[in-house]
Amino acid sequence: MGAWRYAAASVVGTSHVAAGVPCQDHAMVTSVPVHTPPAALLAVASDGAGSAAFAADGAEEACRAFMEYAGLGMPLIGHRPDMAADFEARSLDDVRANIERVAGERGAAIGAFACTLLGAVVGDDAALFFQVGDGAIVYRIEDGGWRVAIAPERGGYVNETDFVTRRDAAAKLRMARVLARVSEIALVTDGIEMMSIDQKTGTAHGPFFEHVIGALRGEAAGHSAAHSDWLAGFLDSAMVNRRTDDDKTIVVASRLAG
Amino acid sequence: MSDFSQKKYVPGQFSEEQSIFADNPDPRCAVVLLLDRSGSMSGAPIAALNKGLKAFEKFVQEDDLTARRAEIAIVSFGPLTIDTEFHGGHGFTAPEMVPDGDTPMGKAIMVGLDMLERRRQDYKANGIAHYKPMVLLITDGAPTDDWRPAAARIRAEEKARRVAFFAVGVTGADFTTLTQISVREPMKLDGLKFTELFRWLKDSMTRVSQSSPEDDRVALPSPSGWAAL
Repeated sequence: MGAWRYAAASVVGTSHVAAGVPCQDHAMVTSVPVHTPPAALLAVASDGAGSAAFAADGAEEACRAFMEYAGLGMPLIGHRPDMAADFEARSLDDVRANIERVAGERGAAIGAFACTLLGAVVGDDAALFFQVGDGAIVYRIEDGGWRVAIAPERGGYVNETDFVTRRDAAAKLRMARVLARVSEIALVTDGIEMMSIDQKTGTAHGPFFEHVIGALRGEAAGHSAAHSDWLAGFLDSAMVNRRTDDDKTIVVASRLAG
Repeated sequence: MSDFSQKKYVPGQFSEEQSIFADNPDPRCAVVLLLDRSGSMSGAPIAALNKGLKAFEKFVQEDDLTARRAEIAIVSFGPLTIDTEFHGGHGFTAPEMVPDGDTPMGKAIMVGLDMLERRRQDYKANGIAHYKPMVLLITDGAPTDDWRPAAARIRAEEKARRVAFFAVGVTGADFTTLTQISVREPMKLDGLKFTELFRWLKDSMTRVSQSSPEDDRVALPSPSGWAAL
């Protein structure tokens, strides 16, 4: 029927635990009804800047705002997110304006809420992916392999990236339109990027994404609490923490066949 | 020097786990220590510095991730010596500083920055992800050579965002000159708290996401444990 199964988890990084800092990653995923079935998928993840005082709040607000504006835009977008020409730029402005408002309410500068943004809007025959900052969005089409939606930025330092709160965030926004029926997606923040994306080639490490989405394929439509729990356990495992001390977030979604 | 593929062997790790994860080299964090071991450091200061260096070796190795990421080089003066070429955390052994001659600080800075530049080129050539490199200069005196070219170089490298250069003055250091050499405000070591300084250095090395270049604030752990006001 084309309906979506999805799950997400964010787990605090070991370095954050050591410093007494909470998890500064956030993620949200849902499917929204569109004028004709099946539903479209909306997914977003955000990584708050370690140095920003309200990073966790920034990440949460970025996700919430994205979901709200992307959701509001669904009647316009329908199943063809690629058709809404200025939707993407406006969504980013909306997200940023929202964070700015919250910052104002707190009497803080917007920079204190600095965070990245990974977003996906997946319709029936097309998908739109957004990215500001590090992390990765990957997807599959039908029987194909995992592909990286937006090529990773090269040449920067691993501990510096772009944030949606920057004045020039619009210039730093990278997007990809996929004009095909996307069957699965995954979003990962940078803590996971190093262990799931081949750094030399910029390609997805298939076995990783197969590992994190596998069990989801047996689930019914909607949010799988069981799979979200499993993801959280995986993110908190020794083998993951051996490879990163940063906050870790994964969002996965799989379309039911039919 | 292509040692990027060497990882510490951990028995029992070779299992199904290996195939799930992409096999990328660890991102690297290069640090150059520029250490004053001029005659005036004799006695208690050099003893405390050496104790601090040994502690630094321990701090770097106490967690596996830091050890795999850290790359440490040490230059001391005077006379100018390269005590340690870039060495991964697991293989790093703190050299013993012996007080000797004068203070060719300018030259030491140039040598340290050159070593860093070559390492950066290695990273680029091998596609190695890395953190912003750091230089830590520790001195108890004033330069005995011409420091102006070094100061200009530091200004250029900081502006180009190629390095984060920190200067720490021990009691007796010429802060007037240090302020002209370092873009970031030089800090004063409280007594001989070298061990605490090196703990701070380890904590600063792989700190998580910085403020964006827009803000250009460096988010470091508080130096209150070792810095005098």
